[in-house]
Amino acid sequence: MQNSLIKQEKKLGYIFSFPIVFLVFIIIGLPSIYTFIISFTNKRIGYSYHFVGVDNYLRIFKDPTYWLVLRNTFIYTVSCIVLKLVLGFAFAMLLNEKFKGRGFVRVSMLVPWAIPGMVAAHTWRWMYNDQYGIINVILKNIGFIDSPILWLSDRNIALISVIIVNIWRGIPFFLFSILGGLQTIDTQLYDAAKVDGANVVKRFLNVTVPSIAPVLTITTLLSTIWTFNDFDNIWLITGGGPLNASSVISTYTYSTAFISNQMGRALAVSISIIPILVILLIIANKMIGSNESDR
Amino acid sequence: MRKFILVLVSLAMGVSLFANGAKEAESQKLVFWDKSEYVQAYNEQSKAHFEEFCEANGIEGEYIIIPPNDLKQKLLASIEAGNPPDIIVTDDFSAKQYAGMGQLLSVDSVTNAIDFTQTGKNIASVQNGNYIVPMCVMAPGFYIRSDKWEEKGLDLPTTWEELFETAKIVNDPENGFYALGYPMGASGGGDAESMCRSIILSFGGVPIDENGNVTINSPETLEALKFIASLYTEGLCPPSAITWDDMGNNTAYTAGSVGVIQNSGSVFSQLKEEYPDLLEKTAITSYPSGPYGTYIPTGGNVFCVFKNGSSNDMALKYVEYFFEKDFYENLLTEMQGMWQPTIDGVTDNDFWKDPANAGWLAASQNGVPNTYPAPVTDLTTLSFSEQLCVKAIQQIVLNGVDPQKALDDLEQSFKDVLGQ
Repeated sequence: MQNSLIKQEKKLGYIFSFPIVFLVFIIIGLPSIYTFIISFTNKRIGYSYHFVGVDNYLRIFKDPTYWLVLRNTFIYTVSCIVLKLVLGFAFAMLLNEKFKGRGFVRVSMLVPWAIPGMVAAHTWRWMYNDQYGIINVILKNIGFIDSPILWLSDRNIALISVIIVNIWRGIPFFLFSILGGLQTIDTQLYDAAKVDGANVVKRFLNVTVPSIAPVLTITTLLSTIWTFNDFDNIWLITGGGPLNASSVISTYTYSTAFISNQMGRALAVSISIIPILVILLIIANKMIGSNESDR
Repeated sequence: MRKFILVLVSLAMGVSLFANGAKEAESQKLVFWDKSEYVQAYNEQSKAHFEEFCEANGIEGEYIIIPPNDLKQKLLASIEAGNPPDIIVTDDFSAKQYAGMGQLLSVDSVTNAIDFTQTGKNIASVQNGNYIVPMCVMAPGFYIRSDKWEEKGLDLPTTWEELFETAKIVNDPENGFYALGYPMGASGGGDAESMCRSIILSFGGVPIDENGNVTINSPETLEALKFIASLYTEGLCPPSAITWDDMGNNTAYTAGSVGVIQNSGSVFSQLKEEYPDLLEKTAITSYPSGPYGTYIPTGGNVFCVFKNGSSNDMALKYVEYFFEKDFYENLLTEMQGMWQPTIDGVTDNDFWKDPANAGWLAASQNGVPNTYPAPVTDLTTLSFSEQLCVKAIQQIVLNGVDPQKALDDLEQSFKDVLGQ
């Protein structure tokens, strides 16, 4: 009797799950399969196409631009994440303390995140302008530079310029996630540590960090995936230029697909990074799982 | 459970039948993706004219303004989705690629009904058929700050060599003034590639010959590439000009920070409207010449009608309606010389009798196609819109690549695009 009830419940579970599984398959599964197939063709939009085997993959792996773009993607992702984490943590610690005007400062810190990405990108682009941009004007007026810095035109600086914008936009996410975590820490833990003779650094390392470790993990992993796939920030500020110096995988894929109309090759580029994203997702999944089992 | 599923399926079928019925009852819709123009009056008048047409014909109209740099991406996505707009206005070199893709509807009915000028026919000409309607010619001019050259006691340059030598004298970067303002960013626009090709041709180089063969790798092209690169390496252009898009030179010239630009009448119309003092200090002449003469790649805006659009007949009818004499003549005047006509009988008025405007009209008749002397096909025009020459110059200036190596790579890029 009990077994048949369990079986019936299982069946009902499958039936109720089917629509969502089907929907996910239609929305994500089918396009993914189609993308995978097209990556083995010479597809250009508006023209007929045929299978070319692994030719697209061989071409991109032989192309120095692909490796430059991949290198840029890693530099962009790692530097943005590290700096957003460090600065976000520092600001969160600061804003966790009581001081006059704390509410106002907290709201102000949300501004970069609240501004639409397009508006922010165009504003930064204007500020970075070597001739009229406010950044160069200020640096020149305080005597820091003699000639303007080519924020968007120098191939050694363009990537740094877009990294700065990503950090500026991304700090609030880290800040408020970590701040939320800090506010859940029981103050008695700090009191106990003090009694045990722990100094500020030890209290930070042994109380604060372990207490908000789950928050740090999730925030960092989510932000890593978003930053790895960031597109609008770079496309709107530098267009990936000059000569792909600030191009990352997402902008390179887009320009190969829609500017050069090489859809097959572009999809091969995007498929080639799936293993990296899958590894990130597996790590994320494991960490979320271990955090939950720790509770 | 079965009953539940039966009811659910019946409901879904009912809803879909109702939706189909509603769709059939919908009125015909004409979708027009217009180019956002530098002169705002164009989009306002174009929209009003389109809406008037739709109302008169009892159809629903959707007018969307799209920046030129975004059009290609949006259009390719819509073609792939099988849902392109009915009509677009775009640059002639982009339109020729869509014609080559087999996406466009023949415009015989329009070209039979309207007598286009030879210049108009030239910018709409494409090897594989009659798919493009020329809307306007946009002849480029050579804008030079005559006051700056006079200040130094210099004559205005008539050759590239003279331009280079006098620019060195006029150049004053310490005070924020650069002699030249040539954009060289691979942003998708046509200004930079057009400028490169005009110099290559006037130095005797030929990117693609009249038989469609890639012939760019020659000593003449090499000299041209070295010359163009020297404009940047010698500091005659603002350092960031190497990444400017097509708006960069307009902005720099109207801000008074550069002395020479090559641009269509867009800057002329803006100077007339907003900077009359600067216009007085500006001379607009023909391009300088090189050892092999002067070449002015000239294009324009064109109409395309997509065969997979939903209202083919209405789209063709609207394109014909656009050239209604009073509207078109008035629109050209509003464009302040930026546009030159593609039909006869609209220049017999005070505006075009003004020598300043008449100069643009004459210039529009002396240009060569952007891909000259190559046959006009989707691939030769793709080689133009891919900005291959621009990228070669960027390699020399930004990466310090040897010019001959950059030229060898450029030749290979041309061959890749043309499948040779």
